[in-house]
Amino acid sequence: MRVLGIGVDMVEVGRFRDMTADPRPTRQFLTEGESQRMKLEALTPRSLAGIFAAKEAIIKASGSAWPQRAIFFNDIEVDHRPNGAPHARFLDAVPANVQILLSVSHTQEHAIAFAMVVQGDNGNERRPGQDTADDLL
Amino acid sequence: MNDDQVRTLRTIFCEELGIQDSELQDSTAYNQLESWDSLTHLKIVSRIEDAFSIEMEVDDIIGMETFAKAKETMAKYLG
Repeated sequence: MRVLGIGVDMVEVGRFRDMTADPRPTRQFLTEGESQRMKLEALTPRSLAGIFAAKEAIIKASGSAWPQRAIFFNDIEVDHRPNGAPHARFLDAVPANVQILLSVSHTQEHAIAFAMVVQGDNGNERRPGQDTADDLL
Repeated sequence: MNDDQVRTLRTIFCEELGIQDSELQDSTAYNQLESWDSLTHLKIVSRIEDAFSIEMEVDDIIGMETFAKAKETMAKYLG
């Protein structure tokens, strides 16, 4: 497994508060799939901040991985595993064996995310029990 | 862009950046002001798209790094 890039981001949860009433700005950073999921689940400032921080961290990690190609918010989809651990993938335009390792955490005021873009056959395969105790996205 | 469109654009930038109209210059740049970060940038884009009924290309969103560049980009969409 080869590390292509790392990135970290932190945002204030409060900056997403008005988007629960008026979600129009979310179309700039949520994919269609994420928007649908957010309609089914509770659209909270905390979850929006988590997704935004995750994508920012991934974009930063991608900047060193592919400096010649800009990765943008809608190139990335963030989800969570059944145990609540965050999971992200590139929708296209990157080699198939490139994976994202992602960790997200929150306080009441902030969301922080750390991402690592790796290349290798087992890049995103974690051993059972290895998932971090991240908060739900 | 006509005067009304420029005025609308200035209003969006000033409101989202939290600055007075007199503080907004053509040279005002992304990450030069503390308030113009990536989230604010996306909020500006969202308001621009709504105000002018357009959908911006990703390359234009990324490239809109100064207010002058924003006007130039909008002129392309608005003709």
